[in-house]
Amino acid sequence: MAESIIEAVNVEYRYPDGTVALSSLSMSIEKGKKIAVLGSNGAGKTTLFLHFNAVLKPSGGHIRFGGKEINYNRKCIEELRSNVGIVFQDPDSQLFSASVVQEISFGPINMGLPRDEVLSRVSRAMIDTETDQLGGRPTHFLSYGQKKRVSIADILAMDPEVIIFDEPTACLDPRLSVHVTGLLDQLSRKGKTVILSTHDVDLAYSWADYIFVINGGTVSGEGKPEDIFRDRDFLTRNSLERPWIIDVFDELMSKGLVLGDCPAPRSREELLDCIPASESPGRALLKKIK
Amino acid sequence: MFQIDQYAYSNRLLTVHPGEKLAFAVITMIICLISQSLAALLAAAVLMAGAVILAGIPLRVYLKLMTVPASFLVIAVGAVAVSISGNGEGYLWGVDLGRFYIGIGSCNLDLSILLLCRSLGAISCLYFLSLTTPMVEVISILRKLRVPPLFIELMGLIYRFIFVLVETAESIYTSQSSRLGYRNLKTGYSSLGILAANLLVRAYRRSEILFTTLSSRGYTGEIRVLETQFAVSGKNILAIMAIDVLLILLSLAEMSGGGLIGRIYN
Ligand SMILES: Nc1ncnc2c1ncn2[C@@H]1O[C@H](COP(=O)(O)OP(=O)(O)O)[C@@H](O)[C@H]1O
Ligand SMILES: [Mg+2]
Repeated sequence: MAESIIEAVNVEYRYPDGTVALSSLSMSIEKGKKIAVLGSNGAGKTTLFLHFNAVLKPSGGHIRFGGKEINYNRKCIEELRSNVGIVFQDPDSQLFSASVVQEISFGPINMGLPRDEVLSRVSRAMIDTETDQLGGRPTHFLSYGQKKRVSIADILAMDPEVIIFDEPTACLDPRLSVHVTGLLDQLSRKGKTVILSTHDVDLAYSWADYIFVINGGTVSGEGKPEDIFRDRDFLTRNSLERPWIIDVFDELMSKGLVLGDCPAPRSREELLDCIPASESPGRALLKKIK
Repeated sequence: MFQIDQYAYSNRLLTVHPGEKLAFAVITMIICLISQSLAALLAAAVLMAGAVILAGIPLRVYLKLMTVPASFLVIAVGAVAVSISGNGEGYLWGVDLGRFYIGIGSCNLDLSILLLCRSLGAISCLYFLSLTTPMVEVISILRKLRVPPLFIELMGLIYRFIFVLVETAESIYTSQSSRLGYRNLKTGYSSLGILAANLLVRAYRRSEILFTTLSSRGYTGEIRVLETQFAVSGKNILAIMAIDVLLILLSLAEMSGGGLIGRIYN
């Protein structure tokens, strides 16, 4: 089994008002992978992520980072927080400063980096998120998409090993969603472990290396995308849709309209590649009938 | 208020060192609060208006902003000018009410004119500062002046979250009025009450979430951020000094020459 970077072991969590948000949840995340956490609203995704950052402390079970159990003393918490970054769902709850540059510099300064290093990280994060034009604008006059990108730059500037995106594409227009998923791929190519939560099955299917499905505060299933979405019973039990690519592919397959040796496609392009240009059994059949 | 803030981030004096602008506004304002000279006070008001125009803020906008404090001013100044007394001595104009005399006395009139000019001068200084200097920079200057961090952080957070709060209030208001929440006075009162209560709850919840998001980026009780660096301009500092010395001289000259105040106490 490959090295796991962050791990939840039988984690239980109950909010002060009595809501049980996580119950005996176990999840092991492999280093350098693209992980999607699928679950409906209220499934416990955000609560789980707050545990990965030691903002919340489990009432049962424990969290491991790099194989070591988190013991919640100050040093351990600080180390975890500089290694694991969370981009929160609502940028307005994350942006505390009216100045974009000050906002992005907050994390790296807390990590105790020297001023020059902070400056270069801030400007690199701003270029990567295409927010370098916004430096002089106050955060309250930015559009939602711009705020979202600043909130991503906040975390990129800290350059953590593991980056968690809590529902990154919710409320974004298609162009920005593509920009954000592009950013996620770029981070993954740099060797980062990228975790995202979503209820968009199409995104999870085409983007992730590995998928966890959370339901009612516990992991109800996990696996490679092509395996997870084959099991129709499992999908209905967890009220998940089937990704459209799989639906179309299966339909084409049952009608014999795809190349015989084609693996299950992960993207629109791969799907189109599966449809043969001219001579296919289906077309041959059609010709014969004519 | 948002309009002022927008100009603060987009005016032509944006690149001027915020410390220079702050010093200009504050020193001139102190002069306005002390000076007894009408000429110096009016000069300060005109100078500040000039600086604001120089920064590229349209005169029309500036005059409109000035009407906001004007209504308070008129009432306050009117109250000072009018007085009641037993007889009509020393009154420029008045009404005899039998046992009382209500009217405008000459000393009261002078005093109220001084008050008017002083307020105009001081208000102009404040407007100059808020129209040309982003709050973020005012705060960072205060930080450099070693104002306690607690105060600085509160200022920064309050400034940031005023906008979030107003947005929240607007969205609640819209959703209420789209369901006829403000159809008549009665529903209006009850909707407004719900809005206020919700705003309080949400503000509290927001502060909790903010604590969470800050903690996850390593917050341990102090907000430290990068400061923007500005170039200090010797020319500007000289100009500020020259203008303020001139205003002080003007005030002193009128005092020794027995100007307005001389007339009052003679
Ligand atoms: N601060 C809180 N206090 C009490 N209950 C909460 C709080 N935050 C979340 N919950 C509850 O915990 C459960 C999981 O919530 P959450 O982790 O936010 O789910 P998700 O992110 O998957 O939508 C929900 O039932 C939610 O109502
Ligand atoms: Mg959530």
